[in-house]
Amino acid sequence: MNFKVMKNRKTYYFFSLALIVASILLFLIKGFNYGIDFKGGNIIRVTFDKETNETEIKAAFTKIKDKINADSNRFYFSPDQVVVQAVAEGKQREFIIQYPVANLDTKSTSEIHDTILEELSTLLPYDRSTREISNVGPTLGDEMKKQALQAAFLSVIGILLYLGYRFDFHSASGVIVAVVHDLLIVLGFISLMGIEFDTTVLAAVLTLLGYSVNNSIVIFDRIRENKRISKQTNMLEIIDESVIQSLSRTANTTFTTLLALIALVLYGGSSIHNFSVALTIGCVVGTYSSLVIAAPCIVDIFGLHKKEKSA
Amino acid sequence: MNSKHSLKITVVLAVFLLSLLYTLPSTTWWSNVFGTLTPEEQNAIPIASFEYLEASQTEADAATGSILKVRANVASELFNRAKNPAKIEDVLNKVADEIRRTLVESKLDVRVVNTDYTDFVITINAANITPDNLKEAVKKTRLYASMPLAITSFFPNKKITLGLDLKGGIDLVYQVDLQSVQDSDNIADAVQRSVEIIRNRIDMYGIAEPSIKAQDNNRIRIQLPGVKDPEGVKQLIQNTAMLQFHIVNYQSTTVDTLGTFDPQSELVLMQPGNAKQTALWYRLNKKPDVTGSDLKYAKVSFDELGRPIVNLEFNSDGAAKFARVTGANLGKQLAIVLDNKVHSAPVIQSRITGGMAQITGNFTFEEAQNLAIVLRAGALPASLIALESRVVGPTLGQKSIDAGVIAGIVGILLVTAYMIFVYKSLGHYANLALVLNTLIVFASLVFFGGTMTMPGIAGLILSLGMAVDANVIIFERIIEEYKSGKTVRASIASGFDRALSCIIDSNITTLLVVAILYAFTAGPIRGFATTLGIGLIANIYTAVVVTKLLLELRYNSGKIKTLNI
Repeated sequence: MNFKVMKNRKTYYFFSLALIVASILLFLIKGFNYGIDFKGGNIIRVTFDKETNETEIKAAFTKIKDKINADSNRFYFSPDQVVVQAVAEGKQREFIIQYPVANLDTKSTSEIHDTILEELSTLLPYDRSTREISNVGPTLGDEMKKQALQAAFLSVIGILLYLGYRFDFHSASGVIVAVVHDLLIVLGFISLMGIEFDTTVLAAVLTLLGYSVNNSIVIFDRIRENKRISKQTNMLEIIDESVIQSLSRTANTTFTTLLALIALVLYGGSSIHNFSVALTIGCVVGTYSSLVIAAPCIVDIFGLHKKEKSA
Repeated sequence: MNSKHSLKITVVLAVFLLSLLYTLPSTTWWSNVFGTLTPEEQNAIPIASFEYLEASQTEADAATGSILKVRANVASELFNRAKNPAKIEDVLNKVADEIRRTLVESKLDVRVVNTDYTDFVITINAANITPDNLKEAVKKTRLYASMPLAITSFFPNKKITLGLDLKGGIDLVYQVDLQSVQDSDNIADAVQRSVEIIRNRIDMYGIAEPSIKAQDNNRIRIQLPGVKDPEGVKQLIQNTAMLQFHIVNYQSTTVDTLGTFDPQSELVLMQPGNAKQTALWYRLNKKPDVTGSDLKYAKVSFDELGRPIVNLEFNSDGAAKFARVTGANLGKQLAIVLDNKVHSAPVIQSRITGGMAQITGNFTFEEAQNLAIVLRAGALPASLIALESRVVGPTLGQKSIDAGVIAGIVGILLVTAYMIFVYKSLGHYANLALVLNTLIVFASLVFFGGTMTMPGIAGLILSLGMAVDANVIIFERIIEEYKSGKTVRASIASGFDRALSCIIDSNITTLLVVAILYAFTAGPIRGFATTLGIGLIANIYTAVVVTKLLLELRYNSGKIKTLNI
């Protein structure tokens, strides 16, 4: 097979580096479309008894505002800030309505949501059994972000320790480089496509950490074995040989995982759609990095190409 | 086949049967055949005892309808357990309600008309249907088993726990408002008491499997799956239920016309308006004369017009205070203040000595009942701020389950077809292992009481794709060994040997990440981490033990000399 990873590695580095730089620029310029889990906010998903439209729903919110403010000035946002989205197969009756989060968690801002719902159901009656309501205040959103970072950081440390123990420090570093590479690029894609970043997408990103590591390990396992038994003596050739030997495994596993993911994207329903899309991107990026980044990069980082196997 | 193999076969078969045993009761097929009521309930309220009568035989005015009499079997096991026997009334009411609900769903006009707690009979009235047709309709509800119930006793009495996102229900996180805690009170203690009081309220309301926990930073997390009226329950929880009685000094329709107000001794509160009445403002004596802490009991009853009211009974202390304040203030108004809002302010007509009072007002029956519950359970020591509230209606979850099942079936079909396409006959073994793997994950979830959520279903489907990974690694190794000139038998043996370290290392690192995910999250994502984690462990088992066994059984006889790849 004519797949010279090591010979072309600079091209792959360049390609990956370009993607990473683009991703970081995206974080800085475009940022993420955080879901309410992270930034706080309010989502109501309802099926109204009659057909309706965005204008009517927004008009209802104006009435609700007037009514609430007649009692006390508690209505903290403008009806223009209400985002109304019709659900695709909802026959103009099913809608997702979002409105902003208050600045502070207080008793009155947390109670206003119940009043809004109650008023909405008198203005535009809806079926109570089919609705979904999420109100997340500003405090929890910030904490979620912190927890997500902690979880990602701990995962990386855990992987490094385990692999350092089972393999060697070089391999562990290669795996980590690949993981960080995948993480940045996938986050870049999420930012680029404006996928709503909620806890399910976070779970997808963390799962992809596992998947990426999984793929890299298969290759490092082969390298570990080939260092012992191969006729090749040069690290470059050992890596080439190992990558090629694992190639059909990598291809087949990626393919079966992608098949399961495609089923999820197409049939899994709207609640996990973002999650499935993020995983699909992650699956592709993870496979790519395990083939051409994980092992090659340690050669250059630690200068292994100068050494012979016996050394 | 040798003795080593027969032991392994026994173990694998046992795992398979056990998994099946734990999986079957959770399937829709199962509840279609054995009824949606639990076997105990079916024995306690046996369908054999149902009597179908024509309504005209007993009730002259409902000549076109039928009557169904449902009778509890008082001797059944559910009511006579040594530990914790069920109350006959509760079971009877629950079953009758289920029958009513499912019949209403099939578009019948049905009402529960009469409950007889001496003979334990509930009468259900159905309009415009003959007894024979009603019997058919009850049969169609599939509440009761259509196969002998005895079969179910061989199976574990456990079903998969569905998460809030699939079952519907509410998930609330509250912050105890520290400013509202009394200065003399200990904060940690106030949080703990709040948890207890909320638990009491929820128990009195009657919700199965509530989870109410104090968390860090003075927070309380409440998860209530399967709640039918989430809003009502939310109110039930977050009402402080601080009941106070204050003497009214002045009453007015606007705040500006209340007159001069002395903040040292007085308090201004509002009575919210409604459709029939405008809002009112009150200037009250600051110090309450009687409070809810003197309350002995609160229950719902009806006034002479049939409107629901809440009857209060005070303890002797409260009764004495009540007598003193009403005696001293004849002709004045006494405001009933609930959570800093005036509920009503009746004029004191006479001295009240018995320690009894009632709260009237425009309640619905449910509102009156909730008020009675919160008053009985006691006031919260602090008010609660909702930090997060998620409410999922019961029918929305079913849609997600259906979507998940379809995605799962499509996923399995695609993956198995691909494995057969790539690995020919070897692929069949991987597919067998895959099916077993899925069964094991599901059964473990049931066994350990894990919760199935929508991301959990996604995790299960994703692990289908990843589950074949171990088999792929093994097969690739076997093929490699075979191509290098080894016999089929030797190829299989060394293929497994060489693949082992790789499978273990890759799965353990993924498990590590999943464990961190589990530790750092809650709710649906934790469900995802659970299914994926169990999936990974099952994956190691099925690939290293089951596939190996199947391949050895097939190829180790030595008769098959070539590997079809």
